[in-house]
Amino acid sequence: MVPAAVFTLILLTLLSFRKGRGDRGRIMFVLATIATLLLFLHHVTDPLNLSF
Amino acid sequence: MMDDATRIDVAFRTGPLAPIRVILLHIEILGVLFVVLGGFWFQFMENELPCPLCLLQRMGMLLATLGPAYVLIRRQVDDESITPAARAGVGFGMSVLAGMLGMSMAARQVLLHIMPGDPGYGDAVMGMHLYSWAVVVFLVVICTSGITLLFHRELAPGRLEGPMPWWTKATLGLLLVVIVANIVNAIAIAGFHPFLPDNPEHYLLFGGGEG
Repeated sequence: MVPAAVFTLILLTLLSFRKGRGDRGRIMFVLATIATLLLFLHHVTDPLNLSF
Repeated sequence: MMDDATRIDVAFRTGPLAPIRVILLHIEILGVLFVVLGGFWFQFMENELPCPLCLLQRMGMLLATLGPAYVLIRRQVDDESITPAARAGVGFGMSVLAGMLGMSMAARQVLLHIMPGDPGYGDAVMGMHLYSWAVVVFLVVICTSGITLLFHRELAPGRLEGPMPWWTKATLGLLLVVIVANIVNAIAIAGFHPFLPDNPEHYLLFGGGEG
């Protein structure tokens, strides 16, 4: 479910670029990037039993 | 007399490179989507389910396409506070960040299979595995973004007057469809488990066992 949630965040980022949405797309992009990074770090640290 | 903002905007909307700037943005999105769709091809035609790192690389590629998509969408928005150069800076800044993140993930998978005799994950395409191609893709994304930022006066498109052209709508529509397909795909593979299995062999949502 977590990977699907990150893909959903990417979808919401794309939708936030639309007209009338201000410039919140940049914030959404940062959130989506951090979510992807955390998922990657989870995968890297999982074999070390350091997962978070 | 035109003020500075109008003069800069007109300069970005005219000139010999004006049509090429917009075409390049479409090529950047479609090029990356082609690779993501190639991953789907291997998944459905060769029955090679993506591993967690493969899905992470797809996320990185989709994040990288958001930069050109931002420039394409926001150039239509009537926002006086942002110049074409600043818009390109935001968009391709996104692509550089996504490219660096994606290349880290692809490099991680390359290093997992770098030992001599390791067969790698999945089949090779033209001599390289998909994750090795992903390194190339992210490198191209970073280089393209850097070149666009360096030559933003020549390559950043100006504000769009009038409705969005159909080819831009089609490109952005395809991007939307591919992202939605990835959401459905991730749910199908992982089922109701929080994370994907290391070596998925079945779609857990459809009761294919515990991978």
